[in-house]
Order: sequence, then structure tokens, then C-alpha cells
Amino acid sequence: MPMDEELISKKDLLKLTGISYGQLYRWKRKNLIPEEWFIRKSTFTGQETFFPKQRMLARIDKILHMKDERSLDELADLFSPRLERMTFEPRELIERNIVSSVMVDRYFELFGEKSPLGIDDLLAILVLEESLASGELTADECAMLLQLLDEHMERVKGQEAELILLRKLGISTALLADRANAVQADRETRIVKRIPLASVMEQVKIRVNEWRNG
Amino acid sequence: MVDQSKNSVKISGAGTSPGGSFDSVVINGSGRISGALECISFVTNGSSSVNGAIRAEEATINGTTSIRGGATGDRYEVNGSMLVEGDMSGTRLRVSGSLAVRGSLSAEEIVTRGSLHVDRNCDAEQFKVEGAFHIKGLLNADQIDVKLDGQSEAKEIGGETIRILAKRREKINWFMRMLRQSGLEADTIEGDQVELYEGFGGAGQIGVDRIRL
Repeated sequence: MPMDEELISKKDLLKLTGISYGQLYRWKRKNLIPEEWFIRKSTFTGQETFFPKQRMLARIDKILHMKDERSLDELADLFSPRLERMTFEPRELIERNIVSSVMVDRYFELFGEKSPLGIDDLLAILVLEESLASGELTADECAMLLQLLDEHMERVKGQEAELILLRKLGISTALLADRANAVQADRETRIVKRIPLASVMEQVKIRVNEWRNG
Repeated sequence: MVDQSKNSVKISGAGTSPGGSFDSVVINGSGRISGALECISFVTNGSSSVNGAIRAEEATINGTTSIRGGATGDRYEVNGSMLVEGDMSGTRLRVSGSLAVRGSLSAEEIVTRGSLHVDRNCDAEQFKVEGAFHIKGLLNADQIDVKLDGQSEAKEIGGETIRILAKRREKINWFMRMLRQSGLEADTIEGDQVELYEGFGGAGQIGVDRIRL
């Protein structure tokens, strides 16, 4: 949030726009107004809530104009589309440096070219990036991990799953574990790479936010 | 005894079952589900625990249950006590007894008789409580209807219609009444219509269009 943005107090906002507490709280509940816009500040009367004035006024104006034609849930989707329903143009992702063109090309080589990309594709591309970037894995091993992830994508969604690559005497094996804590292997087997999918998903969310706000 | 078929799990007495996806899960006695669970119907009589998240279309908890993850689904009925270590969300939630949620709680309709603890925010369209509630974040609901019995607290309360009354205890003497005083503490209460019980003095700031004390 820009530091010098003008703020407006909740009381002034309600007076200025003519909306009620009930409406404001309902819109907050329905995620029509992002949590980050509620800024708590101490004043001489105690804690008060402020909002970024311009953005808040623009948002309220939009809601008031559109609420008769669309339901509040539809409006919420419009302002901040749910992650699983978002789609991305590969070209745009590359141009705005969300992912590199090398990774997208490599992904297309493995799974065929497609457009637009969904959130699962973005997750896979970031797994690819993570596994290739470390330099510890060969291209074939990365492909193996990705194939495995692709086969089980539905099952691991939202779970604390982990991709693991083992190598024994030059032969590698890919594993997908639900909630693996400690993994032990025999002395000749090396655990080359462990990729926790939850943290990759975090990365996806961060980049999607960049994409949204940039 | 654990009786597990392709679509259902039934634990009678004491037993442990791994998690998974089922039509129905019934626990009579003491049961442990050692992983995440997804089912259409979840019924437990006695004590049970799920070592992971639960997703149940319909859940009836008679006794004690603890969930070591989040709880999602449609309808939850808790007769007894339930602990959810993650977030909880659903459509209809009825509690007779106690419910503690370590994350946030969100449902269209929350009706409780007894006690409700939420460590983060609590969202609902209808929020009806008879008893006590402790919400460490924001209580945000369209209709808030509370009959206090014992001490309650919420960091903030906001909504359209907020009605907070203290339960009358005419049948007990003044001494008992002193011991079991009802009250509510909140930093702010904001609504279009707020009705507070007689002698209310708990909120730092009350923002309302219409108020009736």
C-alpha cells in the first residue's frame, strides 16, 4: 500500500457514501472489500479503522452500481477471482516476469502447448523451476517428478504433500508422499530433492497477487 | 472393532482407522481416525479424534471430538464438545454444549446453546447464541442475537441488527446472581440497529444508527 495514500475514517466514509454499518460488514464478509484495506490506527478516542480513500470510494461506487444486476458472490469473484478459477495467458505471464519463458517452453515440451493456463499448470511450472534451478536434478528427473505430480494432482490438491526424488547407484525414483515428516533411506540411496507442495503453492499465490496488482 | 468396507467405516468399542474418502463414518465408543477424512455422513457417539482435516456433508457429534485440522462441510450438529484446531466453515452449525475453533469460523447460520470459543474471526449471516462466547477477532454477522449467560467477549462486533440481552435469572437469589454475572466485553460494537441489555458498559466504542439501551 503506498505510504502517502490519503486515508478516510470509517465514520467519515459512511457519512460520505451513505452506506450503513450493516452493508459495510456484509461486503467485508463477502470479500468485496479486501482485509488489507481495513487499517487500524490509534487515535485519541481509541482504536479506529481507516481505509485508503480513493480505492475505497471507487470500490463502493462499483458495488453500488452493480449490486442490482449481480449477486454479491458474483461481485466478489469479479473483484478477486478465486484462485482455482483463474486463467492466465502464457505470453502475459512471461512478459510480466511471473515465470520465465524457458520454464514455460520446457513445460509445453512435456505436456503439449496450451493456452490459457490454469492454477494447476502454474503450480507445475513452479515445481519445474524449483527442481531445475537447484542444478541437482537432471532434466529427465524433473520430467519424472512432473509426470508424477500430473497423475496425482487431484488427490494432492490442498494437502500437505511432498515430491521426493531418490537416487540409488545412478538410478532415480520419484515419490509423492502425503504429509511426509521424516524420510529415511538406506545408505546407498540419496535423497536428492524434497519439494513441499504447500510452499510452492504459497509461491504461486504470491506471484498471482503480483500479476493481479501489477 | 473396526468394520471397514469400501464405502463406510464403523468403529464399535475402541478402534483406529486410517483416513480416506467414504460415504459414512460411524464411531460408537472410542475411535481414532489417523488421517484426513472426507465423507458424506459422520456420526460419533462417545469420544473420537481425527488426525487431520475433516470434510463432512453432515456431521453429528454426540460426545467429544477433536479435529487436528480444519473442518468443512454443510451441516454440523454438536451435542457435547468439539475442538477444531484449524479453520471451520459450513452452512448450518448447531451447538448444544461447547465448540472451540483455533482458527476462524464461518457459516451461514450459527446457533449455539452453551459456549463458543473462536481464536480468530467469526462470520455468519445469522448468529444466535444462548450462553457465552469468546471471539478473539471480529464477530461479523447480519443478525446477531445473543442471550448472555456468563461472561462473553469479542474484539469487535459488527453487523446489521445486533441484539445483546442478558438472560434473566429471577429464580435464583441475589448471592447466586452475584456469582454468575453475565456481561460482555468488546472494543467496538457497530450496527444499523443495536439493542443492548440494561446496565451494559463493556464496549469502548459503540457505533450505531439507532440504539436502544
